[in-house]
Amino acid sequence: MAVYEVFSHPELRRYKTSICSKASLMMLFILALTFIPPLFVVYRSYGFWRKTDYYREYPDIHFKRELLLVLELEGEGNYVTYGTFQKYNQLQNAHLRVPLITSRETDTNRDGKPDSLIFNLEMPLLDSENVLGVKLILIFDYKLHQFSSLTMESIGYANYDAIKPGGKFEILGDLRVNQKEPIGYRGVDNRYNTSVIDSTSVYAESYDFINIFKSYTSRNLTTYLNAPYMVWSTGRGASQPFVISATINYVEEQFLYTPGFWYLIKWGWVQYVSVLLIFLFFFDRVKVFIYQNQLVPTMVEKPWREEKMK
Amino acid sequence: MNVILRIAIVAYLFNATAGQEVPVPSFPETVITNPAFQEVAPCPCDLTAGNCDIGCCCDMSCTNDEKQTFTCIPGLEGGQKAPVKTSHCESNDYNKADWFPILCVHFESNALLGFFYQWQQTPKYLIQAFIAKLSTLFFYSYSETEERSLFDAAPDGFPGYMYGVSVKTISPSTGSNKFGILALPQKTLTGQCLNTAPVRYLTNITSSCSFQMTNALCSPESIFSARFFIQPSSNSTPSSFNVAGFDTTAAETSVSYYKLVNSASYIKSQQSFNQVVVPGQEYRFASETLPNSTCMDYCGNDKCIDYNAIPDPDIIPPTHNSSTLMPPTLDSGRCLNAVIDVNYTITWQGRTIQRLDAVVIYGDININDTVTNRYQVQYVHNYTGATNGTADNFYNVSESYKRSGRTGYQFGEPVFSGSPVYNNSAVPSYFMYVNTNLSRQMTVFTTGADGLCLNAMKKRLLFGEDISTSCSLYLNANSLTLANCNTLRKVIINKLNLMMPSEVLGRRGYNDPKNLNYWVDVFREDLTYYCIGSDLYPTFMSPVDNLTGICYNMTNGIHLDIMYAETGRSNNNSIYEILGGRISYSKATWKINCSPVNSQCGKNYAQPFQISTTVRFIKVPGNTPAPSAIYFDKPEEDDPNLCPGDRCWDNLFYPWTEKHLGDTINYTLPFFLICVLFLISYLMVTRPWW
Repeated sequence: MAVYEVFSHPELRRYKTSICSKASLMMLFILALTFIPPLFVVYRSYGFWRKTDYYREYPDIHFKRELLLVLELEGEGNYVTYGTFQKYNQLQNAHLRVPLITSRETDTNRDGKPDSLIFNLEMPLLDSENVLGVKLILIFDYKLHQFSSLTMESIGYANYDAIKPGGKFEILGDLRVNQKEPIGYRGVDNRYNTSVIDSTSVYAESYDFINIFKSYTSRNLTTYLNAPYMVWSTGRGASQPFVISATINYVEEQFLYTPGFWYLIKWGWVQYVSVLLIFLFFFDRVKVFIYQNQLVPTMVEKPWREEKMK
Repeated sequence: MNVILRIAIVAYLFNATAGQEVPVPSFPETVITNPAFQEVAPCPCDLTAGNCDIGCCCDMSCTNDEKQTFTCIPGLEGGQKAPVKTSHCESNDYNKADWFPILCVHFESNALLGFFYQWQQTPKYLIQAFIAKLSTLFFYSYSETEERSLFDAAPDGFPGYMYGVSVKTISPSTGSNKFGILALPQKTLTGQCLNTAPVRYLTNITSSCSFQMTNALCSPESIFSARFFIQPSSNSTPSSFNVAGFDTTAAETSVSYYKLVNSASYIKSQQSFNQVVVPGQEYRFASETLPNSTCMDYCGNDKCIDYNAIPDPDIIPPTHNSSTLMPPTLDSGRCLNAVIDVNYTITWQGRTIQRLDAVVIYGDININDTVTNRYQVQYVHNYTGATNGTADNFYNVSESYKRSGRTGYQFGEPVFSGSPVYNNSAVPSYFMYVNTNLSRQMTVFTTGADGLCLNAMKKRLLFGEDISTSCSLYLNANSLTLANCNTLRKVIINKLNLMMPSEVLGRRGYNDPKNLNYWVDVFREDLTYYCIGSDLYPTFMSPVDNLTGICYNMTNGIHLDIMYAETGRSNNNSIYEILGGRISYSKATWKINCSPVNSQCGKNYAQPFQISTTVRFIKVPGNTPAPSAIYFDKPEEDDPNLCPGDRCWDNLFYPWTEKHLGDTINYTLPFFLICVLFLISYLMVTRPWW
């Protein structure tokens, strides 16, 4: 008649000893070897604490309908300018020329956030006024929601100088972010929600581009207009305005942020435990070998009675 | 000594039918010797035969004296040393492996190992493999493979035109018709003019090109000659050509020639800004007549305006004299009969051009003047009565009409606006229709180069486009006295309201003027309080403030907010409807600035003041949004589209939500459960664990 294994279960063997004994010392030593080296392994293999991390977010950008425009005209000291700031316009007085500005923000993917800005500016100029350069600051409202609830006022700056008088200036580009330090993982961040251009000022230095950019670039989070393909078209006809046209895409960005405490612990734990499991398995076999072979003396308590063996 | 390797260049002719190659050796082959046994290049740094190469110590051409003048190039026989591999135990690389120097590699360079390349066969014997190898590679060349022809046809291959195809011409001169392409100067590259750019079917063109008139340009073959453009069908000179209507049949072409009495508007003027806007001079509105007192409200608005009596704005007839085709002629420093404006109106139907009506305008241009030529092509559909889809022919017109979008508005199309007209003679008065004349439409200022309100014109609104424009008033201190301020305020409010007089906005892309349901009201800020509320004017109270050169609470801008919403979708296109409008005014204190430049501020020196018109489009939800039930620290936590920190409850089972792949939970949940069911039954059968 064939014999087969009808059922099986493991037995538990207990090794007992006093506190001050070789076996206890050995156990303490093995425990230390099991639990402490994995920590060193994961820590010394770089990147144990994830102090900073990246995430991607589609920022909520809106053109604030604020701008500062300077058109450099032919002839020393000739320029016309326009700003959406009453005090600036009043300050400029004779150089002020009011353009016709139209703008539209599209949302093609219907996620509720604008995807691009279509901007058009027509500056009426006399035929004798030749435009040789454009400096344009567009002001945007930049919002993040994912981690830090960040709101800031940011700018896109387009600058072009030509040797031939222009009729149209076309800007095609993206509004990109420039980040110097990580943002927080929670909370409301309004540090940079301040005016880039102090429109309440009536002093010339407030509208000096050097001062504007100096304070702007000192920020840790700024935006810039990434438009390597600007087109300067010549041939402005009789009684035609100078046209600036821009298509600026708002793109999804990767942001550096400082994770919170539980995020740190979570990823530390994941790394530590995965190495610990190997050590646990290995030293479990070591312990079995040591105590089974009585390399250190212990009292063995077997789960079955001795007399059965007789 | 220098080793010169000569490799046989073998040209192969391929027999196209048999596919066999016939080798034609140009000169005898040099067999490359086996490098395993013979050194091919004993001195790699020896680059020139018979000359001593500097730094090359193995160059046999160098004398011992020469060798003393330079240091030898290091490496094998003067060659450049191969870089040490990063896996090499002697590597000094910055980017070595983490386990370095464990498992680093020791290299043994020993000639006795005999690792040499095998002798390769010449390509002659491997031609099939060589060709097979060639076919897997991409080669790029400078040769232009495209056909050098601008002639294109309808992409579907059928006769006649399709959208975007160039318009063809037929020359009736000789027996066989000569075909060409209808061309007009258009801008390309960075504003340069291409004189013979093709005109495309159903593509309107408005272009302008600037030229400096020279003696050479004033010739019958130049761009200024009428022969450059289309000529009437009746004209059968050898150089003339007609528009091809359908395939090879010509369409009727009529050309009207006009001559400008004064072509100043086409010539770049040399006026400076100070000549156009004289510093210190006052510039106000063109007409400042207010409505008579019985009809005027406190703010200068006309209460008893009669919508039916307001005529359409006058269209100024062009001041030309009719003429015939004349080539430009040079006459004592002037180019007579230079073509400066060409306008083609093409009537089309289906795939056919039915006729072309051209207007060619001559002008007399001085040599060396910079002239701006204007070119225009317009397509007009030959409407042949009502067909399907004209249920919205509200005006009962028999020609084609333009909608701003079917059902909803399209972005960039004109916004409908107007004022409802009531029959007040009947009791009770009843609604008749909405007056949509230009004088009753919402508009903004558009100014010329002078920026003056004096010469400002109107510009219609386009859906979705925020606009900001201004015009300037030049006022001196005498105009800014207390009494004048009140009049000026009324005049400005009157003018601003004339720019935005509409009381209703059209909701959809095309609106029935006889049905008020198609129109939404515009709410207008009531200025009466500011116009009569004397307590707002400190000047009335205190004689100290009753100064010359300052006006308080001047209305300096009108601002229209248009609320629109996505009210539905059709064929996955959004339907945008205008849901409401609001007009508000901005106020400012106008004050003459005294500075050394215009120290005459107490006198008659005028300074500019801007009055602005702005339009803003605001997208609102199509339905009333659900109110926020819970107070959140951050408002976006209530927004289901945003998921702050990526830990909102909606995304807990993210792979099964609609946000992951766009599948609804109704689809993903049963699919997931069926997968679980299959897994369980598989495990039940196989029982891998027991």
